[in-house]
Amino acid sequence: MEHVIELENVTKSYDRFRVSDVSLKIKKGFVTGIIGSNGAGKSTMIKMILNLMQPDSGMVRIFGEEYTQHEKSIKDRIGFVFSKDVLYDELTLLAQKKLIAPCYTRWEDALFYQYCDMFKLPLKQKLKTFSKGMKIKATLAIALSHHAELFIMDEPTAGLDPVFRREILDILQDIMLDGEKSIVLSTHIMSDLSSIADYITYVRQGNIIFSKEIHDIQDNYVVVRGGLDLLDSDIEKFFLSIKKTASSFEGLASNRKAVEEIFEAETIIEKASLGEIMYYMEGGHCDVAIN
Amino acid sequence: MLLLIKKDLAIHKLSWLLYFAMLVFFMSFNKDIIFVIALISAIIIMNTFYYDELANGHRLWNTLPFTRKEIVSARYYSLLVNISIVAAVVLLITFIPSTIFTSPPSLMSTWEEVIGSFVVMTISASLFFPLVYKLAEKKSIFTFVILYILSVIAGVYGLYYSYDYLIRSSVITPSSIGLFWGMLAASSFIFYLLSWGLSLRIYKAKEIL
Repeated sequence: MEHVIELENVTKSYDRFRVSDVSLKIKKGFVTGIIGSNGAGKSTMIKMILNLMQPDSGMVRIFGEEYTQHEKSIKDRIGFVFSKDVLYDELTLLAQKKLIAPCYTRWEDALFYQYCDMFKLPLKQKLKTFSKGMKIKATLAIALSHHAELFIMDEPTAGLDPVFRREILDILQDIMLDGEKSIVLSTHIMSDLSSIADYITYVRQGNIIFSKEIHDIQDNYVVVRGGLDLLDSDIEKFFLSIKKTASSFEGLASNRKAVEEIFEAETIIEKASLGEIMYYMEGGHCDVAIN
Repeated sequence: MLLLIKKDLAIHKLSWLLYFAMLVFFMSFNKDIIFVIALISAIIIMNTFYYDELANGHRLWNTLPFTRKEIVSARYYSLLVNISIVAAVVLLITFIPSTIFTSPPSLMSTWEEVIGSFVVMTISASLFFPLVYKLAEKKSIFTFVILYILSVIAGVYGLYYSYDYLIRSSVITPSSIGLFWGMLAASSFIFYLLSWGLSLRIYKAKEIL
């Protein structure tokens, strides 16, 4: 099985929003980041992947299987982390563990206690006393304790301070060490992805704009800055997005070599960060966080 | 499924003591058995919905290895378990010889009151559960809790006075009392099963946000 997740021509419509004919394959053994501004459709895709929503049409396959026939066995192999609280505030982490552990066929108590110890999570304290970061860590400890093969994380670092975020990302890197696990991570914090993602899927207005290896993106996407006199209609075709002022321009291109050949030394050509790619592709007004 | 039923009981934790205290309180004030069983069961089951909604329980339990059919069915089973637990405790207390818990003079015998509470609970649940699955959200769940409990209280008094009327107007005779309660219990249970099916349909189509 090469792909842990396959979406085939998936469509989901709402009154004012539509995920249109999305096809996506996510490879086993890698970290795939799903990026997009707020309301782009990232969470809708994640929810369809988790069977929290059903597509109007199209096919969702996880581990090569469909939810209609294998719902329980698929979910048994998935670990999830949401930015929203999904644990009972009035329960202690230990009580919550007692409810969840028997649901999984491969739950390992020793592993859970090891992660709680590593994350410094108090087992006998009510979850309502936990900070947001601790709650995310608690969910992560649960996700890590049943030998999940696929981790799906919807904005896991949203609202966390940089120290907590770094810790979470380090943990995710550790998860990937055995090469058998896969992570799908949606976020709009681009710096998080730059450090851990192998693949990036960019979603805008319910469509997948691209799904590429991060090295490919880092090698080929560039921001070009120069005088307006360098542009003509043929050259503009090399850009995905251009912003112009009275005398200068700056634009995003996805073919570094071609752009370098055209402009040679007349412009400033810099590697585009994920944040910049999103910024330009959204027309210069997206709400991406680059910190 | 058993795990989900267990979860429905376990999430109350220390609230069980509060339920028990309320039960003792009402019984010490000589409230009818039908009222106590129905009210306490209603509070327990709606608190289950309430706790789940507050904790984004739909998202949690639908991401764990359960089907939606199991999640809904567990809740319908949980209500029956709740009624059984509360009825057992109430009956136990009733049989304790004490001056505090004297049974009030009632139109109904003890077994009629137990069946009556089952009827009220299953009918109210049949009406409310599909609505809760369809409409309830974090913001509105408390309203459903209150409406459900009020409907149960209204149901108890409605059943009590209807029964009183039917007895006085001789529609129910002493020989047909067993048949009356049997048919009422069976009808309410069929209604409960229909509601169960409807909730399954609603929940299978529900989008977990």
